[in-house]
Amino acid sequence: MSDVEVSGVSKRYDDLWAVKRVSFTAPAGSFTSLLGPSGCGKTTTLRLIAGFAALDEGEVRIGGKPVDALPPWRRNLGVVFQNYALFPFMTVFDNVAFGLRRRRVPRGETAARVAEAIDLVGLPDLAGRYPRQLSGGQQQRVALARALVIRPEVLLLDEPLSNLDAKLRAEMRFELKRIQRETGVTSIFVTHDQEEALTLSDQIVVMNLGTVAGAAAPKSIWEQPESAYVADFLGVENLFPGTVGDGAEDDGTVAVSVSEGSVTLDVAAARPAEAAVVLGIRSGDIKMWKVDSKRALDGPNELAGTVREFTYVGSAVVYQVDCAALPRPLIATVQEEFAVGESVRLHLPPGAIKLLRPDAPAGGSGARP
Amino acid sequence: MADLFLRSGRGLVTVMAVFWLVFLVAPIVVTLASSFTSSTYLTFPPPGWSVRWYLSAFESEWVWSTFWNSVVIAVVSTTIAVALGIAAARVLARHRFYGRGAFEYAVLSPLVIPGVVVGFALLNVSVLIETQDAGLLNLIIGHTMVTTPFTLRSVWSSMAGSEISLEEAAQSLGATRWSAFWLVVFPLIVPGIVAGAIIAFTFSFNDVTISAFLSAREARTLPVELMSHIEYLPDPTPAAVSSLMIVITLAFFLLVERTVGLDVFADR
Repeated sequence: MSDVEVSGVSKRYDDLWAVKRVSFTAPAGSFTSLLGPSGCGKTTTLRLIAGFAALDEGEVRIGGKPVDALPPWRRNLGVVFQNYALFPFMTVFDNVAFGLRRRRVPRGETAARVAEAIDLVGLPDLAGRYPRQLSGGQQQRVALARALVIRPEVLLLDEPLSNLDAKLRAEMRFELKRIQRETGVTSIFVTHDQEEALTLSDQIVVMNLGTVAGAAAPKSIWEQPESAYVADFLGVENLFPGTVGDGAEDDGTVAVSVSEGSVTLDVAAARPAEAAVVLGIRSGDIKMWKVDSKRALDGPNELAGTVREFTYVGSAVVYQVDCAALPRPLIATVQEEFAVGESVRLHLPPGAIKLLRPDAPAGGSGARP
Repeated sequence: MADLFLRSGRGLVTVMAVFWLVFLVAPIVVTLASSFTSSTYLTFPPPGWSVRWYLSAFESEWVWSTFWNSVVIAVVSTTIAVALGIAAARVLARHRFYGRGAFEYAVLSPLVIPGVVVGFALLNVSVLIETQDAGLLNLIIGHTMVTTPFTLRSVWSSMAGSEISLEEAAQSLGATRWSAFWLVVFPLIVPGIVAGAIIAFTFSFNDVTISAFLSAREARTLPVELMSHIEYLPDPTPAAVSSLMIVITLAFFLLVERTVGLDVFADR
């Protein structure tokens, strides 16, 4: 197994930087996700690692060796494409055997390794079928077997689950995790789905406008996103720009006044270097009671609001609540039921509010038209 | 409203079918029938039946020599047109580049420019480059130019089904650029190549307009020779030769239909 070091990699198409000075390391045997919206440069980064496009700046090292001078067929990487890219006129066996035949592996060994790979991805008795005779999920498994049978140094996956329906996608997610654990292959996975990235990865690299916006393990990126952009992409519904007050606190909290609002919230966090911050809180962390509730406060940060709209999502109800003290409505997810127009009390626990770094305008690169 | 639209459409199809039968199929039937005439001049319906004009055709030196000219020209120009068509289709299907549109129009222009114009232009060019006496060469160049649009179009449309990711997948699995094309793309475009080649061959083999301009005295094609024969002599040998050409052309299309299906001629 090999690690992948991407250092300062840039790729320009005409006068547009598709990726600009992207750096991250995928440790040997780990599962790294490149997460971001379409056009953020995640697929381009993958293609640069695979060698399908030549980079304009920087360096890619696999197992410590620079690979930029090598064509794709000399890099020994397994690639799984979004559309699977199975060879339509070849059987499953021939598809999987393709890479071994290019390597002139003896016939007997080829048969054994193909059988092993088909077994690994759980495709019993389908070796003689053609791709068009297979379901989307089965084609996906063949694509995985074909990429893994050559024992690649790294497995590159370009949104492999996006063409599957929701149920199959959840199933394939487990399969992907099992296969990666069993083979121990270093994997780099491109996705725009934060849930996929969270469930599969050892490391998540969030990309924005061709640059890396943040990179961390799923748990830490979920609990403490680096910036407002990363928090937004990881589903932090409530984001408010604010300014950290000057008042010295000695209880481990800082007071932050909400910009364009009329409230100062206590946040359980160390004082940040910059006064300009973004406050973030997940809708599920907000508490909400009826206005006449006699319930005592858990702490500071209580707001008054009026229910504007709600959506029932089965396990809970998501409310949009107008607060006079805030510039935009608050999103709160709670179990209790409230009516539209009802006055409510809201509580934002200081420990649940995140202090986030505001993003530089346009990320300083990737000037997209 | 929609019903009326549908019904009038059906009526139109019926009328078209009748017209096609009368004006396209009927002359073929007339030619075939009159080639079996027993008389020494062309009449329809024939006064009696015989195969003497077929025997006459097989015995005529001019039929054989121009037939072989036509075969050589068709085979060589088709081969070149297929090679050029594959190369150009690959570029057009895979790359976006400055002047791509102009290139596309230039290569496809012989499809819309009248044969007379193309023939006359090519004659002038051959005079300019002093190859006007090398009839065979001129004919091969001319036919290649005119048939390449056909091979390009059909290869291009078959290439639309092969995504670039197929080649990339093959490359990531250890195939060089060339073997990725040969092992993965080529098998997918074979139907397009076959269809384009057959159209190109049929066009070249049957063409009169362009060939008439380019045929030198010692290098005449069968259709051009047939034309001049019909102009000066009343004997039904050309009818027999024409009938054979009709049969050969039909056999070609039947071959395509049986091997790759006629839908390969459909546009992308």
